[in-house]
Amino acid sequence: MSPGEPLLEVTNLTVDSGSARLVRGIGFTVARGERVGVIGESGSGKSLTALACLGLLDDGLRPGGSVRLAGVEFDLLGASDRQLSAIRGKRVGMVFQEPMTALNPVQRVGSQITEGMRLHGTRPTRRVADEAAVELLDRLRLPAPRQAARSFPHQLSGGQRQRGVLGIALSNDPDLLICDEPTTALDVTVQKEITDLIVGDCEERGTAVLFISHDLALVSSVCHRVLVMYGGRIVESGPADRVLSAPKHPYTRALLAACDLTPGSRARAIPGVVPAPKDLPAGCGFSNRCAYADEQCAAPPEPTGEKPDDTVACWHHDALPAWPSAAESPDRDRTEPAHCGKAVDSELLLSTQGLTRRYQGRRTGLFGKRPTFRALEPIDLDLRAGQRVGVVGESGAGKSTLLRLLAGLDRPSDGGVRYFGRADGPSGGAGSRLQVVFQDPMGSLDPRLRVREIIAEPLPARRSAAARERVSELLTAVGLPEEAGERYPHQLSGGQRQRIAIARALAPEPAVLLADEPVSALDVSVRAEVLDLLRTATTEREMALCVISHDLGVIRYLCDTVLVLRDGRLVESGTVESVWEAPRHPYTKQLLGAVPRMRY
Amino acid sequence: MSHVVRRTATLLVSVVVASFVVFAFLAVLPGNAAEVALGTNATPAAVARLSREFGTDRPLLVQYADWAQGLLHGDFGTSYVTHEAIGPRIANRFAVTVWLVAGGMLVALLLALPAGVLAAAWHRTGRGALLSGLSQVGIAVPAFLAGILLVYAFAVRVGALPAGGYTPLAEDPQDWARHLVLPWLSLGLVQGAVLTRYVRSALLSVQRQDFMRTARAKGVRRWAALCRHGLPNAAIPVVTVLGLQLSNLLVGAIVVERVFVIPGLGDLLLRGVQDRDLLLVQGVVVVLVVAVLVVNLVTDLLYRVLDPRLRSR
Repeated sequence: MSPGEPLLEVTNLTVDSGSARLVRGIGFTVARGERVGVIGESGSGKSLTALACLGLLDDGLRPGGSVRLAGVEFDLLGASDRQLSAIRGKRVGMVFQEPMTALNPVQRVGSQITEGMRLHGTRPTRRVADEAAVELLDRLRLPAPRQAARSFPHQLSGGQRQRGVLGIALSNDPDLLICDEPTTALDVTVQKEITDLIVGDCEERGTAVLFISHDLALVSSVCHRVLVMYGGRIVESGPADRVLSAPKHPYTRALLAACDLTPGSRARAIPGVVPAPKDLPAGCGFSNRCAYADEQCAAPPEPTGEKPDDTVACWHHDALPAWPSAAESPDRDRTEPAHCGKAVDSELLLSTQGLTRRYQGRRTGLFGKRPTFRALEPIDLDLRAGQRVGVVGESGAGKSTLLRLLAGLDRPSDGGVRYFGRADGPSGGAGSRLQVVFQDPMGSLDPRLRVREIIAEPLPARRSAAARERVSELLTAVGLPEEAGERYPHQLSGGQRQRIAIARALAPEPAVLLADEPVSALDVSVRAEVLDLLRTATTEREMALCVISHDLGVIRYLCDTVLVLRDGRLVESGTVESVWEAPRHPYTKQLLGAVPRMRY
Repeated sequence: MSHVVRRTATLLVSVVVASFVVFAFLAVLPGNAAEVALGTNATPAAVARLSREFGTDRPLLVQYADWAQGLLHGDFGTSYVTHEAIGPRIANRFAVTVWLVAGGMLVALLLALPAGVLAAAWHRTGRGALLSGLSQVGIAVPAFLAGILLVYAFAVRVGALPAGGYTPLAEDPQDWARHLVLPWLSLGLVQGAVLTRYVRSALLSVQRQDFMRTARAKGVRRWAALCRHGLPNAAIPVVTVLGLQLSNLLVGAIVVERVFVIPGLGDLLLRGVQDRDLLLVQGVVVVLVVAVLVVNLVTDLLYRVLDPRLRSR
């Protein structure tokens, strides 16, 4: 192979399901040792692209085009399972999104790593392979690697499991590592550790990386070069600094604006939703959501650029205003309503005194004592009208426990919650004054009810004309058309479903709104919209809001007060500005330091 | 370890409760042992005398305690009808039924494992649909009908195998096997058809799991992934069904023993019912109940062998 030859060369790749074209002819290269990021929202075709390269598409999907790997005579797309199996895990390793499910639950982690080594014959004996697996886990900075190799997946934490998956992918020193959202399911501090590890290890060994993510900041911190995908096409590609600091495509610009949750600014959601593949416009896939679209966009634009690896696919990219333009970038001079001062003397809606939750573990022996786990240490907090409180912390910190206790969905072991000055719990009269929005909008909406019925459910007279009117009013308030009321949840997109969940929560005009990870299941382009909806609802109606999120950006954007939880203990609280500018607790510092920042 | 102890304790309690229920059910049936033994023309005085002799005039709980104490020593009592000791008769018959059920289960497994794997690997293809269809037909056929069809095909038309009867294993192993082939098939084919569908659906749901993709991504071939990573995970739900099926087979064996004239527990049970030999029926039912409970216990312990996630709890 010649030195200039790319390691991976993808030409005119397509992926078809029976009914639609999901990837619409994309081409890119990855050079040896280069880290290329693929950015896109759900449905953009980024994961399918990665799977197609290794011939791992589901049975119903058919790839087309060509995928060449340096040093391999044949085209990977037409190759047999036998030919591909010799390449998978040897020349190309792959890391997946969900570390919790990516490992075989009934096999020890070590033997899952050695399986790949033995399969490709890179280690002569089982014993050598075992030793190599332990060394590999040590290199991936897994504490007690020997013990970890003997463990089953369920005995390890999410971050440890992802190191195990990484170990499988790196076990034969591949030339290319494909990472599909490798840290999306992990806590921020663990996310930072894993990405540092990927970058460090691949840098050291000259491994090229294809890094797929929806997180622009994360991609910018990992990659040399990025590809932005939308609707199954690459809309823009180029060096990471150029694309993220001077984006040329309207979609890239819109995505950057939607991601920017700098406080005091207003993040700009992209109008509309990501269309289903069969509903994509014929020409430029983004044209139906693009502010600059005209008749010309009915024809598909070709990627153009001075260099083959610095391109944009837009008819109007030359005519766009300079970035950041006032119309596209977040508007930074938006005046914030002065809620912070007001909150102090407004009505006290909810307060807790020594609120505690302990769980009893299983008996260890026949007569042994049951161990006690403290899910939440005693906590005192006040929630006043117009106040927006954010609760941050990593998994296991007790965030959801706190929210469940506040919502009256769980009983405290000690202490209690006073609602609206009374101690009688949120049921009865207080029930409709306190509402909850849950994380997963699909799971929290009854699939058999129409949207109209879902929203009307908390209302006193569900079938009355007044209720109908209120539902229409709420649909408008959350930015949905009137006819959405007649649909069922599965007919709507994730963002729309979450807006319905919010509309339902707002229906009985609650005084307190609790939200558990309200945007973590949503795409970036609709996240801003939902956050703004929550923000306006609280400011307009003097409602108190308590939001739980692992995403510090979301809390900073939405809230004025923040509580930092760790292992069930409140470690720091204060106004958002003070905590972000001068965190006092070392854990808060660590959390803030782990948030990926846009590098450019 | 404490789990094993706990489960065994539960088993013992279940056995006590079940034996009492069996005892109580048969005791409240009209017609006591003495009436049965003496026939319809017996005088009340004769019945009372014989009842005293049998001990059936005592309070129910005392009778139960007496019977249960005997069971603990392996003494099932003496039949009021044939005046033979029941224990040895059950023991003889039990061995026959165990052979029958074990062979049937083996046939079912030998059929269902490959058929299930193939049906899963070929799903959405014509061959897969054919296998599914065949197993559907197998489920619809009751064991006794399968038995009759097998007898017609192999014993009557081909004449290769005996249509019924039994030779003890110790006497002539070859003849023993010849007599059991058709009963094994008629029990096993139907259960195997049911099991095939479970193996197939368990494998299909495992196939959709992320770790199967991980296995493929490290270079494991499609079939190897199915066998090495798919089967051990699919085994967990399949074992549940297997436990239930084993219990089913015990019941199915009663019918099949009838069809093939095999002197097993089922045959003994039916004879006991015909002769109104209550003590014999009690004994057989208790043995069957204990067998089912033991099968459940073994299934439960097997979970922990198969699934490490259960072990650490």
